[in-house]
Amino acid sequence: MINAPGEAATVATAIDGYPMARQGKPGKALAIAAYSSFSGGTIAVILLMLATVGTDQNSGVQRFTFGSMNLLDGLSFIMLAMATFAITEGFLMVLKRQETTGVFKAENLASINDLKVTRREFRKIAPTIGRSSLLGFFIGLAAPETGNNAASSGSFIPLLTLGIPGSGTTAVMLGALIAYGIEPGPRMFVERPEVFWAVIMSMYLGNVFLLILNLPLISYFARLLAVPRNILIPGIIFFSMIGVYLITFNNFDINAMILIAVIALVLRLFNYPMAPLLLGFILGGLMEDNLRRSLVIYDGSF
Amino acid sequence: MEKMGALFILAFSIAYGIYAFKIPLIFLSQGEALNARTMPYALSIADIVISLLIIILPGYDKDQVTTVRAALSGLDWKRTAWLTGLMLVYSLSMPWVGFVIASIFFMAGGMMILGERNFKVILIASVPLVVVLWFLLTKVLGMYIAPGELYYILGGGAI
Repeated sequence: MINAPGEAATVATAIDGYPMARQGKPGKALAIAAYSSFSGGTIAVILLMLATVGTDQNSGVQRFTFGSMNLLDGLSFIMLAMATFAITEGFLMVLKRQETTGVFKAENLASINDLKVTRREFRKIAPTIGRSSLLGFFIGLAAPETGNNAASSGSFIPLLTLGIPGSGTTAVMLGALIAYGIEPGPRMFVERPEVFWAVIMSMYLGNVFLLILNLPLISYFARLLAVPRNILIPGIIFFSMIGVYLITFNNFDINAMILIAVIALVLRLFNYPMAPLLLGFILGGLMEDNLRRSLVIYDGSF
Repeated sequence: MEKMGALFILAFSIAYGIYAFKIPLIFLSQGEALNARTMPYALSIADIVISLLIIILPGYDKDQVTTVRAALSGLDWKRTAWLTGLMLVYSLSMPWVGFVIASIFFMAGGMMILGERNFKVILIASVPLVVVLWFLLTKVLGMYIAPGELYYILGGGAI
């Protein structure tokens, strides 16, 4: 309504919503946002459902395994992420016949290689970078890239202090920490200080290395755009399948990934977002465990 | 279009709810406030309610596409289906022919499905990639990738 997105993810909403509000259609803008959020919520519940597949940690009962040994440990997070993002993206590129690659000819690549920033340009962008670093930490807006990097650090606060991921990125991070047997939360500061400080330091070192690697490698990254889609798409799908296969060396994961990718493709064609999916899957198990723990503490009283 | 998706989700949620009834419960957990069935029941009901609301309430489609046929027309379903089939063949053939052969055939097949007809390009983009990847995984990183049944049938690994 007032062109002030509350977080990084709502910046895109503001791009469409604010002009609509100015045209005198604030109700419609809010309604569209509500419908879209509703779809996101529905997808999150679906993934909460998938999180219940496997052996129930409390009673040892098998749920939705259909008698298959492969499902006893539940579905793999990496497999779901690859199926819903990488493979689906590959399918969409084939379906929509997008000429997303191979369009950058040599002359386009030459212009991408231009890294020079003039003194005048630097003077122009310096205040925005400074302002966005501060604002981005809290709400993640303004100059996208500065705000982006600052906002990602900000979203680590609820993850590290409460164990609640504030964004898709931190949800992936939470999945990785849990995979290593580390439970983020207030106790993490005391029990695993080495992990906590390593995360803090790695965020800053990551920024430094991003700058060091980005600048000399820009021309090579850009050249990926010149790879014809006939070669790139099988490559994307191949590496996604191998990435999943090499974790468990089980072909079942590839088959499950294909099935989930087809379902995710249908949902994406029906305008359902895939980002809430990862949050739902990671938080599903945690939600059930903690609800059960609370009920035990309060003697089964809701 | 969202309503069509909601119908799809509704069907999934009902099936999930039916299977939730089939979760076996041990004797002691039957009286618990939260047992192995509670969460699946709650999620099933929540998703049925949400998807019904999406179907019943007026919706807004940002792409202004109102019919399923309009949304799904003009898409290259044939190639996507072929590619999906190839992925399935890759997964099923890997234990038999091994990682290297299955991967080379997948890459080559994928490129051909997407319209690549230059045999030299197909060969250059598939064989070195797979062989280098196999070498990195097995020889550099020390991972064990089991050879396919074909390797043993042809006498490989015999003492």
